[in-house]
Amino acid sequence: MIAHNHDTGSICCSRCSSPVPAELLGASTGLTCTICGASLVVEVYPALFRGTGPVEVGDSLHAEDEASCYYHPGKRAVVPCAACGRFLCALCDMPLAGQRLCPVCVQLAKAHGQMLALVNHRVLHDRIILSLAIFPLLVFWITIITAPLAISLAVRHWKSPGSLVHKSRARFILAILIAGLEVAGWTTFLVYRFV
Amino acid sequence: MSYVRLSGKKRGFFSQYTLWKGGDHVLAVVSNGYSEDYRRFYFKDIQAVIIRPTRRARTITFSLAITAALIALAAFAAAAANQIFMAYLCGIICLSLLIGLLINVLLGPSCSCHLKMPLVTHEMPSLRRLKHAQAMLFEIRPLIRTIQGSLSDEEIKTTFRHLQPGRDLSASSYHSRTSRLSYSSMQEYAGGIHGLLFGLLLIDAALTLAHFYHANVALYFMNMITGIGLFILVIMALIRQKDHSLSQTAKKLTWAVMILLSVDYLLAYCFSIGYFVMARRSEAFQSQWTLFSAMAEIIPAEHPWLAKVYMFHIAGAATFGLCGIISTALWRRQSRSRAISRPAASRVLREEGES
Repeated sequence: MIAHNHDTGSICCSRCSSPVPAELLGASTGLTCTICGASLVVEVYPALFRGTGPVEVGDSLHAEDEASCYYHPGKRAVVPCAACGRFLCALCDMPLAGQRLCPVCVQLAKAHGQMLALVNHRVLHDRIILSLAIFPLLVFWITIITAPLAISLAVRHWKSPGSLVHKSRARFILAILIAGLEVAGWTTFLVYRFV
Repeated sequence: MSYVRLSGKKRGFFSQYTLWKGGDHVLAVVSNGYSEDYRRFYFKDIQAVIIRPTRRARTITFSLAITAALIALAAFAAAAANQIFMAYLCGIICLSLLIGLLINVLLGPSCSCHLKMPLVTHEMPSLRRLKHAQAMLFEIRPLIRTIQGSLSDEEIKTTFRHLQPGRDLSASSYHSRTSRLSYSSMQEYAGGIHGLLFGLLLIDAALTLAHFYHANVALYFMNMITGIGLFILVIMALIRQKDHSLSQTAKKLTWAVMILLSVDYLLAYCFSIGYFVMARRSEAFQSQWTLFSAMAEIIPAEHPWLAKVYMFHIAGAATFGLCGIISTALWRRQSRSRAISRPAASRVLREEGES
C-alpha cells in the first residue's frame, strides 16, 4: 500500500508566500516576485521534484508460514532490527545512520543519547561549571562553597556528553584550575587564621 | 562526527544561532550559553535555497548616520558652551555610533535566507547578510550536488511540467493567477483618501508660507485645522493602503508624510515649550485664548530655529504633496486602463478554455 504526497515542485516567495512560476525558475535564478516586488535568488535542487515520496505501510501476510512483524502480526516481515533482532514490517523499519531499527530501539537510543543523529538537545556542563567557578568571585566569601562544588561537578561530568560542535575540554580544565586556586586560597587563609 | 562552522551568526539577548556543516547535513545550533538545541537539514532533503535581499542594513546605516550627526551637533554645542564633560561624552557616543556604522557598512547588504525542505520552509536567522548567505551556499552546494545530482534550467522546467501536467505553472498563467489573486484579495480603491491627503498637504504648505510672512490668528487657526486634518487623513491613508492596491510610490510617500508631520510637530512643540518657558515665563496668560493668540503672533522670521522648522515643513509638504498627487493620478490612470482591458482579457481566457 502506498500513500503519495503531492506537495512537490512549488517555490513560494519568502516575503508574500505567493508561488513562483516554473518558467522563471532555473538551477540558480534571480527573479522578482510579481505580487510584492521582492527580489529573490532561488537555487533549486532535484529533491524539489522528488517530494516526500511513497510511504511504505507494509504488505499483509500472504501465507501462514511467512514471518510476520513483531509489532504488526498481520503484516509480512521484511527486515530484522539491527539492535534487538525483532522482525519488522516495512512500516516499522526505520533506517537510521546506516542501520535498520525498530521504533522501540530508536526510542531507547534517543532516550539514552546513544545515537548522535537523534540528539537535539545538550546541556553544556563545562560552561555551567566554569560560571560556577568564576562568577562567585564577585562575592568572594561564597567561593568557600562554590569552589569545591565546581570541582566535584567537573569530576562528575567529565565524561558527560557535551556540545556536538565544541568538543574541547578546555573549559573543564580552566574551571578546575580556578576552583582549585580558590580552594587553595581558602585553605591557606583558614590555616593561618586558626592554626 | 566533526562539524565545520559556516559563516554567519545571530546573537540575541539570551540566544545565539549558528550553522555548522556536517558530513551529510547542516546543523543549526541555538545556544543560550548553558544548553544547545539542534536541528538537522540533510543535504538529501534540501529542495531549494531562497535568498531575498532586504533593506535592514540600509535602514541601520541611515539611522546610525542620523543619530551620529545629531550627537555630533550636540557635542559641538556643548563644546561651544564650555561644557567639556558633555562634549566628551557626546563625542564618545558619536564615535561608538560611527564604529557601529563602519561595521554595518563592512558587513554589506542584508538579506533573509530560507531553506525549503519537504513540507516546510525554514528561515535561517544567522544568514542575515548577503555575503554570509553566499558563503554558506558556496560551502554546501557541492555537497548537495554530490548527493542529489544537478539539473539544468531546461530540465527543471520540463520536470515541473511532467510532475504536474494539470497545473499550468507558466509565467502567463502566473500573471493571470496573481492578478486574479490581487483583484480578489484587494478591494477596488480609487485612491481618494490619498488624493485628499496630498491635496491638503499642498494647501497646508501654502498656508504655512502665508503665515510665515503674515503672522495672524486667522491664518494660524486655519493652519492648525489643516494640520489636524492632515494627521487624520494620513492615518486613514495608511490604514487604507495596507489592504488595498496602490502604487508603491504613493504608499512610500504616505509614510514619508507621516514621518514629516511627526518630526515637524515634535520640533514645533519643543520650540513652543522652550519659548514660553524660557523667553516669556514672566508673562501670565489669563486664558487659553490669550495663549493661542500669543502663539499665533510669533513671527517666525524673528526666531531662526522656528524659521528653519517652517522652511523644513513648507519644503517637505510641497514636495511630498506634489509628488503624491502626480503618483496617485498616474496610478488612477493605469488602474482605469487595466479595468478597461480586463473584460477583454477574461473573454480571451474564456475562449481559450472553451477551445
